[in-house]
Amino acid sequence: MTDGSRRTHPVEAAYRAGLVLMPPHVRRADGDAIVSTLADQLDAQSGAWARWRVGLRALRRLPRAIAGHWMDAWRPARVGRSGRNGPHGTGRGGDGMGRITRELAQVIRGLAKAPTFAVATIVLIGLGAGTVTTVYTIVDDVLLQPLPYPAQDRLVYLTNGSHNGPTLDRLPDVDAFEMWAVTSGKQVNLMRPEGTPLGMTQAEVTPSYFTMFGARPHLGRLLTDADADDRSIAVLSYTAWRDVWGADPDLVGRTVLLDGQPREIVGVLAEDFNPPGSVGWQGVDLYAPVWWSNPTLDQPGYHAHTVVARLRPGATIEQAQVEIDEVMQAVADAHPDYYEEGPEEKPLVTLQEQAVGDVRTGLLLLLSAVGLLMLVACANVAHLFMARALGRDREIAIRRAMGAGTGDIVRRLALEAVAIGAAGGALALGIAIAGLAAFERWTVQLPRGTDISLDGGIFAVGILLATGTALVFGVGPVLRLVGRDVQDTLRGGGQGITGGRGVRALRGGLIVAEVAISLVLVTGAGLLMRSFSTVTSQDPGIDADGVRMVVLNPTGLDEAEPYVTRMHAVDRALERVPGVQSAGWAMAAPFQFVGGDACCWGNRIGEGDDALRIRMHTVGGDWWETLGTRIVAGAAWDPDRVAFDMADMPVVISEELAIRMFGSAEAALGRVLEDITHDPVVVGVAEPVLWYGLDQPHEFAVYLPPEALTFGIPMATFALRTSGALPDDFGRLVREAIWSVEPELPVPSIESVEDWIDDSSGTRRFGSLLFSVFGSIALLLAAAGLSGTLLYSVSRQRRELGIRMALGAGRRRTQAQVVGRGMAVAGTGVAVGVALAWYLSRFLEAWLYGVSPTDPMAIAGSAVVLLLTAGVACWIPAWRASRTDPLETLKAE
Amino acid sequence: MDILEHLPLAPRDLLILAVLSEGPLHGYGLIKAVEDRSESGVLLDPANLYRVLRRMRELGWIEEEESAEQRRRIHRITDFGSQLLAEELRRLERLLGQARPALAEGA
Repeated sequence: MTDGSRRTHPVEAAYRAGLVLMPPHVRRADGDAIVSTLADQLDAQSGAWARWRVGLRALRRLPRAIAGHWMDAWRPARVGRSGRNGPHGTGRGGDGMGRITRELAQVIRGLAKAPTFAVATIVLIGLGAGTVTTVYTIVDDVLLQPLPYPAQDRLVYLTNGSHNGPTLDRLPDVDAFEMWAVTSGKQVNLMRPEGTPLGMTQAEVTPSYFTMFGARPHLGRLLTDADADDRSIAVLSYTAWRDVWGADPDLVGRTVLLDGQPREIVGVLAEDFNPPGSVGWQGVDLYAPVWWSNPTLDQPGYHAHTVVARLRPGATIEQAQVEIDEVMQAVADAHPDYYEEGPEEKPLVTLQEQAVGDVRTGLLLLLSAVGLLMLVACANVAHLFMARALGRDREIAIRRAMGAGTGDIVRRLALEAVAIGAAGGALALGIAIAGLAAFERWTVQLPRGTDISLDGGIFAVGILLATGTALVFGVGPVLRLVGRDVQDTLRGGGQGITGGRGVRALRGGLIVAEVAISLVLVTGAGLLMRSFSTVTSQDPGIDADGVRMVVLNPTGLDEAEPYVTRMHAVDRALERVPGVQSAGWAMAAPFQFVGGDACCWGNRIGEGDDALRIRMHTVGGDWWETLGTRIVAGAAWDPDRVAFDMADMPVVISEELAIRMFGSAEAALGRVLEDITHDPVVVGVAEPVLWYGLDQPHEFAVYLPPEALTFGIPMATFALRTSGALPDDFGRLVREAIWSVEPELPVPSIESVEDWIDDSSGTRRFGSLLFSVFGSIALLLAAAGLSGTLLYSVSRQRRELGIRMALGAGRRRTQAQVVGRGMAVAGTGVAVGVALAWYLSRFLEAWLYGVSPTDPMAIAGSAVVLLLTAGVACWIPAWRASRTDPLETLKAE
Repeated sequence: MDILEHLPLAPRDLLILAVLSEGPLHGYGLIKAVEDRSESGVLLDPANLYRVLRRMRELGWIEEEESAEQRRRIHRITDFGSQLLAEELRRLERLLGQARPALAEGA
């Protein structure tokens, strides 16, 4: 053996090869010693026969030795009883950390052997906790976090639109206000020396506006009280300074031309200035002092300013409200002609409430939908863990027979639950981060959708909930085995394990909950989809196909005559653009301003409670032909025959107004509308147009020629009816046509009315899509839960089923039995779900259109969907059960 | 370390300690000695032997040293191992002393 030229015995080579399978650290340390010991042993034998005998014996024992080495690697050396229980004895030794690491490694190896289980639970936990974290973070940030302003809890907002000069004049009288600020916005055009005009948003503000929202200057200074009425200065937003003036450090002190008027830039705001998006205009580029001496400001009909105030410390919003009511009464008393109907109501709300207003319902809805989904996901995690724990009865019994204590087993199972929870948590974190990033990228305008950071608290709650579920349902069922005779379990052959009435009831309860929650979500989806389809099937009253819109902001045209004349000129220029069949224009077009707080010009006809709220639309050019709105009686006025200040100004009214006022469309023709300035005469009646959105109520409308205007406003929207394929450079042609008559007007992009209509129902589409997706996922999870549970109990009862079938139970009967069992549970779930949906769907009411929250069709429909899904889910296990071969099963056991 | 916690010893462990208490041995020497001593009642194969030795080393019963000869490791009993062996033998003798009368009566 010391002889270097000794020939290696074949067994020795095989042995060495086999050692590859040993734990690497053992092989490195002892491998050579082991092989050389074998070599010594072989060399010591006399004769080839003896060498083979001893060698093969060692080889035969090698696998067990290797397994033993692995076992030792996971479990440290034990003290006592070492030989007796074999290497599988109770492990108690080793240092804590090392042991946990080893056990964790063991758990991970165990999970790797059940990849479906591991992946399914990790994905369920990850998706569930991830989406809940994302949505909750958004909701929390938008709805619950305090606004980032000094003394934000004392900030209040004066509702009911914008306010007129007489109201503003009396604000200093309100004692409960420590400070108040006004703002108003408008479009202005910046004339750049080097090229095209640029449209900018300008806000008029009081200096207090900056104080109230914590503004600091980046360069120069902000506004002071001494600047009031100064129309020659402005403060720039940081963004405008950066994007328009290239962050020019020497800009302060220079003068720019806005609407032909010079203004000196006195300062640039710091980047972090972030006034509430819900107050005044958004995306303001420059701030100017309020023009208090504007003569128009004295007119009670001129409402242009938004009011925010900070309450005095100790003053309540109710006290302030009393004073505001007094102010409104005083305003009404001072202008009795305008306030014939009495003073306006101006309720005060906290700024927080105003800031989140409309979005609240939507976000809370989203949060509840996600929360419900998370519950369903948890229920499925519970199913999976319970099934795994129960399926390991035998494995656990064997472990115990080999000396593992209950503590070891529970610790092992708990570690498994924690490992799954941790992996799911990592996935959830990724999903939440990605979700928030996507949200920040895609959200157009949430009231305060800036700077959202992940909410650690809710993330922890999500993960704890999921891991807790895994722990309870993964470990719980095993505790049942404690104290039970090991032999019993082993002999029982796993049968009767579905038993344990408690466990079965628990599983049933989980399914009932899952089905019920799914039904709620599916009902919600059904209601929202019906609303959406009702909304989209409304007749908008225009033929949107092929109609393009160009929105202009002609500034500086304060008088009616230049405004109307020059817009008519633009209209005529646009008519000549190739591809344009006809063109018309209006102050604002249908679907341009959608939603309840609609824009523009309103009026009243009649008095007191019978007064009709009407909307005034000035429309010029070939309006009716271009928009495709039918005149149902009479005819539109002849544009060539209207003039400023003419008597008997011709108007068209909407069909509903005609019926309401005069009984029918025909009866309205030739009648005079006495309550409207100039006493116009009805010459035509138009079909109703859903001007402010498909889901908005129809508003009574009076259409007037632009010549009826008594003022000019910086708004004009041009409608172009186009046909066929448009020339490639259509945009350029349109711009050049406009610039041929109005060279200083910025021309934004050309939009299509169809997009506007789509956008107006965008929230609904999103809502129904969201609920459909969530509903479908919940449905799928519930079906998987139901199917899985049945499948599991069928496979555990194979023996019983086998015996029954051996005794002559037919296939159909067996199937019917399994399906019946499943459907009984599903049916209970549906019953609970219907009651739940009936109660909960009322919270959807604000989102519904043309359908009642307890719409029987929607609820019955989703009950049917649930039952059908449950039927399919039951059928698979039933089929499996009926395939049971009696002989096979009995033999297998 | 409390010796009593390590008792009783498995027959194989006892034999290995007993053999080593008479002097250090290398791997095959140990296998051979144990086989002879147990009259082939305990047969060790190399991989299993090193598993047992590794455990005993971790528990502090034995130690090993590199011998002059290449790839050869010499295993030696520690003081703790000797005490352990002595304690186990005393325990077994006491046990035998208590059991023998019964055996005599039965016979």
